[in-house]
Amino acid sequence: MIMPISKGFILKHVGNEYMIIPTNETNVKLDTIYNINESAAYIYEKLCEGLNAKQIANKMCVVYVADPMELETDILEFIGELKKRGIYYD
Amino acid sequence: MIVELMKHKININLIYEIKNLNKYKSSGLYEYEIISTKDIYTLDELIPFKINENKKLYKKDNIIIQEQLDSGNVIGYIEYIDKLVKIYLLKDDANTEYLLSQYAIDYLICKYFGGILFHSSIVIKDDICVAFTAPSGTGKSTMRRKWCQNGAICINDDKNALILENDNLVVYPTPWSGKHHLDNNIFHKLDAIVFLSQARNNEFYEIKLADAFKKILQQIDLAYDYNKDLWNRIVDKMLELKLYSYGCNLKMEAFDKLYERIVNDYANK
Repeated sequence: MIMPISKGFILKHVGNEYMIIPTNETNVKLDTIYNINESAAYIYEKLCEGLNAKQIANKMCVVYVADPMELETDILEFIGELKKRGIYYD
Repeated sequence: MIVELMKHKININLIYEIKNLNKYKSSGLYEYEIISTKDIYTLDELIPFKINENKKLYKKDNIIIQEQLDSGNVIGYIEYIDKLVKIYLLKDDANTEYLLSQYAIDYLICKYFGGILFHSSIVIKDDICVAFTAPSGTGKSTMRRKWCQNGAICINDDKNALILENDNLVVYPTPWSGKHHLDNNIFHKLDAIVFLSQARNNEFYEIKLADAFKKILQQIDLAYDYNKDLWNRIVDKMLELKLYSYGCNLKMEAFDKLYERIVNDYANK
């Protein structure tokens, strides 16, 4: 299965921050570090496991007691941001 | 010349001399090799899989080829062929070879020796091992000098290897030691990292873990595909050390205050 998430990034949890960091670079540019919140980190991890937006929304709605349709919209918005940053491919 | 670095034997055969390489001289069989040549290199019609402002990376079978650029001009190529790194020097000068050979040792450290290179000046004093790190020009070497004037020994003034050994971060020297060519063939468990900045008065600042992490990121290579897990563990270990953000005037009193603080913290550990 070809994963839509790029392998060129890693998720790092430091202190109370979550960051998506590029790999294979000898010099980091701080603007390439993508700071995200805990929920986004959860979504990112699930995307890495191969789940799609609908499947993630169905998992999250149990934990967050939220409407799965609304969650899916938010997840798709986050995926849009990941695409812009070259972290996710269609 | 066969040298022993980080407990590994490497045949380093360069065109120009690296000043302190002799300190690491060894003999016998070697497993790794860094060689340099002025031979012409022909890059087949390959498409780079990674481009940044000063290098392009290509893949040919299981060989990674690095095209090194300076202001848009190609100054050399590096072929990474498992445990052999071959440098093709197009710009024929010692500085270019120094830079390219640094990439070569970095690759061996990250891929085979279980570590990373840390841009820092690291000293040992009274069995406490302290790393000074900061952007170039801040005063790492000046602070190191103050420590050495007070009896410290420098492991390396510019590029130290951090190797994870038995759940400890151990600092090993490399002969790539920056403009002062200061390195000694000794190793030690790392105890503390000081993020230096210049200030009128000598003062410690609070530093959040995430900010320390971002500062560290600017002084190490990011993870490679082949060392992501190890890289993560090394960075986490770095963040478990005593971390100091220290604004200082780089005078002797700056040393006194820092040393006193570190010794106190170490005693109360």
